[in-house]
Amino acid sequence: MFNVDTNPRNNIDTADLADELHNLEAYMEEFTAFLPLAVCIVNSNQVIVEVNKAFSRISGHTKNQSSGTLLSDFFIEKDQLRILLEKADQTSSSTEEKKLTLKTESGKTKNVVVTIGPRRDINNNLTGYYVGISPILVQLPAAPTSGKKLDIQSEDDQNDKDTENVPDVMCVGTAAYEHQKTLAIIDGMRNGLLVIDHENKIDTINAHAADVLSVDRSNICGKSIDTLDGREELKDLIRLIRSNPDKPEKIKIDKQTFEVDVEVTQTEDGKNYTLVMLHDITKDEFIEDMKLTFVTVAAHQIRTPLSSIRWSLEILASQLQDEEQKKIAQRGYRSTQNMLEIVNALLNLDRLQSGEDGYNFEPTDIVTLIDDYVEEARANERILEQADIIFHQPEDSLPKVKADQEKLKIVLRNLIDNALKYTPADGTVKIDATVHVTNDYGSDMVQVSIADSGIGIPAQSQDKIFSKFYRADNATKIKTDGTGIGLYISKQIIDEHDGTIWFESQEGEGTTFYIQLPIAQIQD
Amino acid sequence: MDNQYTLLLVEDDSFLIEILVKKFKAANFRVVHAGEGKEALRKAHDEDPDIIMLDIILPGMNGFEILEKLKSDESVSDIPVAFLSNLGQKEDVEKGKELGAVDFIVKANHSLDEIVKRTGELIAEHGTK
Repeated sequence: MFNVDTNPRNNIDTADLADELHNLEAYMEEFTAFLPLAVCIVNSNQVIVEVNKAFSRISGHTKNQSSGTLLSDFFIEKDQLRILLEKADQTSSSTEEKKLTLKTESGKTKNVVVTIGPRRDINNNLTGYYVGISPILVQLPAAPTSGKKLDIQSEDDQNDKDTENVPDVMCVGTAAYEHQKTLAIIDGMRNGLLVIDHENKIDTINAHAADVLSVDRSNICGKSIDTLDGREELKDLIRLIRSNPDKPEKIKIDKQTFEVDVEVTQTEDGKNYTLVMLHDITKDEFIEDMKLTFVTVAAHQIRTPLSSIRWSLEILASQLQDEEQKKIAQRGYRSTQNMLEIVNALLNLDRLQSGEDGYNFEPTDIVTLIDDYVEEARANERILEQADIIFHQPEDSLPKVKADQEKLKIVLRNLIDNALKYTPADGTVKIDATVHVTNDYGSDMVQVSIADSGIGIPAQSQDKIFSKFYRADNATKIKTDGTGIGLYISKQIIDEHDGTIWFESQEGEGTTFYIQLPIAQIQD
Repeated sequence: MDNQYTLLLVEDDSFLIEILVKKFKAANFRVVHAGEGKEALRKAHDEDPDIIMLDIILPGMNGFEILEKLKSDESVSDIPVAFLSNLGQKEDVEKGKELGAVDFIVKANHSLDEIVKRTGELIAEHGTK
């Protein structure tokens, strides 16, 4: 490899020097052969003059095949490699690095990282290049490489500096792989991601975010976010990024709605990076809006004709003299009422499930609530034949419970209506309210029981009675039009109150439902 | 009759009007009817009602807007106003109460008897005469 005159007839100094050079050459050969990093030496015309064993392994080309070949012939991106070599020439000392595709002898391709450093003589004239080639261990989905920051760099530079001129090959490979993997993940995300550095410059932008902001990824990186200031549709986003809110906020960009999360993180060197996540919720918003509109419109449009029917039947039932006709009107009235209950139950279910209704707990006099509804339910007696309701008012006034009045009304309504629905007209519904003293360390509860003498819940249905849309067989037989929602909702509501709901039932004899609710503390 | 109350019913559904008028008359109310906002405001002045029952979805001005107008006019702002509507979402009820309605009755949830009874109670509670 070195053209050295080894003629022993030259003076002794020359012979020594030749020996030394020879040893050095052998040492270099051994060293490059041992190196797991593929290395080749390229002359100033970019022609390969020397390769090591690792190069032959990775490329499949033998030393003889490789020598004398243009380095760029081994790569798919010929032009990029040529530019890289020229760049290495111009920069005085540091190495250039790029992800490229190597063509192997068998015709396959490999993703590799190519590191290039210039070789210079004493007068600093370029004599060629050192080229290191390290494989990227796993084939990654094609990530766009146009963004400057998406090219392999800083991490590996760092490694090179740390380990001086002997790069830790495994480390480079792993770091490059991890880096690539992270970039691929970021780029493949369906959320937009924008990273802004401590100087307010855009550091990274993934494909989705570039799309949302309508910016060109290849030249936006490194520019200040101030350059986006003139864009009216991005005004809210920029304001949000600058204000760094604690919670994700909803903003509009053009016609899309995004939930934007802004997080500031600090890197090891103490610099702040702002991560901006853009989550497109346009569709969710649209669906939510439609649902609300539907619910409101449905409520109104269904209730209005039903009210007319219900009230007409009410007048008929109260005025008809003929018993048979009166019964028909009553039946119609009851059906309409049931239908209204179904509509209301579905609306309640929807609101409860969407979590739209927060709970508003306040000290509540449960006796008044029961009294109000019992009175309302009794009003139907004039029109309908139904069981008597007996409410035993407690002698001493009960402590107030911690409850959301509107929600608790739904529960009481469901339980009392159920009792009436499944109890024959000559039966009774008994309601009691007492303080339940707990034996252990738990606090006292107020307990309400609603006992009917109705059809009861069959044993095999008892464990399913609080399930959504479940109805016991015997209930379906006598009332075909129930929804199976009432008890499900009631349980949800009582659970939210930290209360308990349960029942005791004997088929054919009746059912007693119990609810227990915590007593409101003074500060409640 | 001395103790006859006057009800101003603001409602645009002719069938509901018929039923309600019939029922309230049977309960010894004098019923004045308005089918939309302007007529309602005029009759609130001219007919001196004891209570106004207000639907929300109406042609032209909606019930909330009518209520705002009533409350901003001193000569009629004392008259108790209750909504009688089939809207009944929490937001509607809250908005109605905020604007000064004395009650929010969802039509579909009540029988006619209950509505008549409740109207009497509201006049007793909030009436100014």
